[in-house]
Amino acid sequence: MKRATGLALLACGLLAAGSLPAATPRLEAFRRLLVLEQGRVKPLDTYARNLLRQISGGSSPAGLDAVAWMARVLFTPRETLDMKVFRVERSDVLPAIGIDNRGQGLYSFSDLRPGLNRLHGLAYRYAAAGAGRPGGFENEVMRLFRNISVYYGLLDAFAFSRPDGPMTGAAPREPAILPPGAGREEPWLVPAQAWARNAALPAAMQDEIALLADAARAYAAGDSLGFDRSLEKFNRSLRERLGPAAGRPWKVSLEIGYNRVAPFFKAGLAYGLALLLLLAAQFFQRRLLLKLSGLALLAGWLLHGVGILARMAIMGRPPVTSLYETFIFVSWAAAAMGLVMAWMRRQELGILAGAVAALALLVIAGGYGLDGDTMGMLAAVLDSNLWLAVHVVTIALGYAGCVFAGIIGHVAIIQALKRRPAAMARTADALPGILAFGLAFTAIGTLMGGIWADLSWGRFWGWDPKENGALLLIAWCAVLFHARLAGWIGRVGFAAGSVGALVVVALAWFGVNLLGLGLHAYGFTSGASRGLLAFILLELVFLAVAVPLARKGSRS
Amino acid sequence: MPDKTGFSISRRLRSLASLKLTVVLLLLLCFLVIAGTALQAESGLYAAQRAVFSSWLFLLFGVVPLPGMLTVALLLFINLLAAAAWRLQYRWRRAGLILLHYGLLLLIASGFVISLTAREYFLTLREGESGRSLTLADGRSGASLPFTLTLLDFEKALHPGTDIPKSFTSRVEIREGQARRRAVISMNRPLRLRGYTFYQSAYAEEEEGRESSTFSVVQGAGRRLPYFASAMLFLGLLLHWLAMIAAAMKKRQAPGAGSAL
Repeated sequence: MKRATGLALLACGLLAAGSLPAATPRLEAFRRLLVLEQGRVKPLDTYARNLLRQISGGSSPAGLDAVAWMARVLFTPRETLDMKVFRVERSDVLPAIGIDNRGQGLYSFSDLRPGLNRLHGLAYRYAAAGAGRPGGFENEVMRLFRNISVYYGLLDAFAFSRPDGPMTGAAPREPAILPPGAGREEPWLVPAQAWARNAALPAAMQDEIALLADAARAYAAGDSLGFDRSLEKFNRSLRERLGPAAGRPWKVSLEIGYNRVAPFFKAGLAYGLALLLLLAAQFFQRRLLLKLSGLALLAGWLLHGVGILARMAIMGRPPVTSLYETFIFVSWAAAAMGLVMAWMRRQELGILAGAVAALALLVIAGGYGLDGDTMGMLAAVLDSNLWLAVHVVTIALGYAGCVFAGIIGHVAIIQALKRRPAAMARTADALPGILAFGLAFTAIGTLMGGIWADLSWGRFWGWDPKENGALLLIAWCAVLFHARLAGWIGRVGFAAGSVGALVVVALAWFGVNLLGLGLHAYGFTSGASRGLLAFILLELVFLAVAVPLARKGSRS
Repeated sequence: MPDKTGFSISRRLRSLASLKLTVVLLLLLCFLVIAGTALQAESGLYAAQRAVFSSWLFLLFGVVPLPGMLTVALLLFINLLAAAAWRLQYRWRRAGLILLHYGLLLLIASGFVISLTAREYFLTLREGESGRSLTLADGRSGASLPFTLTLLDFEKALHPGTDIPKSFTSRVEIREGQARRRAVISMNRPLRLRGYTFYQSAYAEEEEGRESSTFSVVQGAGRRLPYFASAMLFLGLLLHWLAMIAAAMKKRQAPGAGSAL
């Protein structure tokens, strides 16, 4: 056991280290610039990655480092006009603004420039009319326009340092990297804004603006040493001027490290590897492959947990505060259940269910991560509070139990279909315990939520959609236990009911957020409703076809 | 024969404890929750409350009559009560399950107490304004407070550079006869006084930068009942879980003991 853990730690370290040397060293000080965006002070590293991800729709163009791209956009913007970074999701958007569809989904600013006037007109009309549904034409027009505007607003942020002056004539709006004072409430300034009112600013800020101008000129001249030195001086000056408000250096380093390692992506790879090894173990009947598969799951889980801890340290808040984080956390909890099950001598089943649940939830989280900064600020009503944090984590554990049971339910039904009644019975007999875990944690978490709601909103229960989702899950699990006790359902029925619990979890999780109402609707997203419907239909068809056949299979 | 009638009445009563009834009622509950949530998305919480969640009879699509949430809750209560009388096995190893079911009884009962006695009002004050008369959700005037509230100042803080609210805070003065004191009501920090609870609910900005603040005011009995019920449920789940673990350990040890012989 000790050796296995050691091996998993090693694998985890290798996974994390795999991406370290990628960055160009001379951008270190640039990466550490602080940017105020959407209420949060973050390293420019995070800002640049999020922006490029948002513009290019998740798949950054081959070989393009977000921070290097950002440096070029800010300091040598003309070089970036022909870089293909703008993702256009729908094929009918470009013809509508008079541009031919060429190549693969990614376009440069120069490609899009001839259509900008029309795009601008359309986007304003749609926005004024409040038009658009997720994934629709109007939304894509508005999204593309917004992305181009952000890019356009960056081009002249350092225009004052260039001999040829401004390119656009528009006032630059980002990045806000110059804090006017130590007060946290004042908006930070974009370098060009600060330059425009240079004389009115305190001497320390004037020096900082001069340092930024030096850095920009050094970059354009290819003087990487001068670039680095000026920005280092700038960062030091900010720290001296602002004190702790400038963000602690270790937190900046931690966040940059978190971005580089991408722990959840790597954890997903490890879970995928665990599944492949499990498949190979079935094929070749080797204990070693099975062991390696379990180690891959353990390594992924450790890295996953480190990622969650890093987020908690960076933001100084509990593990689950946003929709994105619910997926990350439930995924991690499901992997933990898989490990526990594997440790209790149910290796194949534990690894299979743990890795499938964890991987699927990480993939969903990745989709939500595209919406921008995953470490956004919280609205007042959800501001951090110990009781609330415990409530959310407890519910998340309950959901994890039900998801885990749902996947094992699938396995049991498939085993019955394959006419392996002994294996099926062994699988199905694990279900009541797991579902009871899910039920208990969901119930306790819901009650805690009720107490929190009473303390802060004045009612224990308000039929809010999110509360209803949890109640539905509790009632459904209670149905299963009582129907089993009454003899209405047997092993197959309970397995099918567990699959049903998975559907209910999906409804409680997404359906409620897709309704977009209530105090709990803290996340909103595009395109997920169709996925949800497809998933529910698929599961219902699976149950309708498989359960009658499985009934026969489990008896033979 | 009286003997036989007695027998059959008690049998009928006993059938109220039936597990199958539990399953049917829970399925109905599931259905009502889904229907009520969907209705809420379409025509708002108030309509959903009236049609499903606080109604005895629910007309599906306006035609098909189904029991409303109140009916289902009452029937579940009766079902649980009967189960407590005849079905639950009162043994130590079932202590968790027993506590769980009694906790549920209390939870349903407290739901009825709260929903039957609760009064919810609103109070809107502009900065500098005093008031004691409360309005109902539909805008009609409701009760009058036994004290006067004055809004001294309302403050709203946003996360810098965004429209995401960080906090809402109202500073108020409470006047009862000659006695005056100050208090702060903010998001998640209500003011409780003489059985009334004031929650920061909304705000508005008028011209000249004068702000107004709206409190939701709740009065009613049984506010603490769900806390007791929650404690019972929590303890029940914990005990039941421990009992299950103990049983599993016993089962695990049994074959080992056999092979030692």
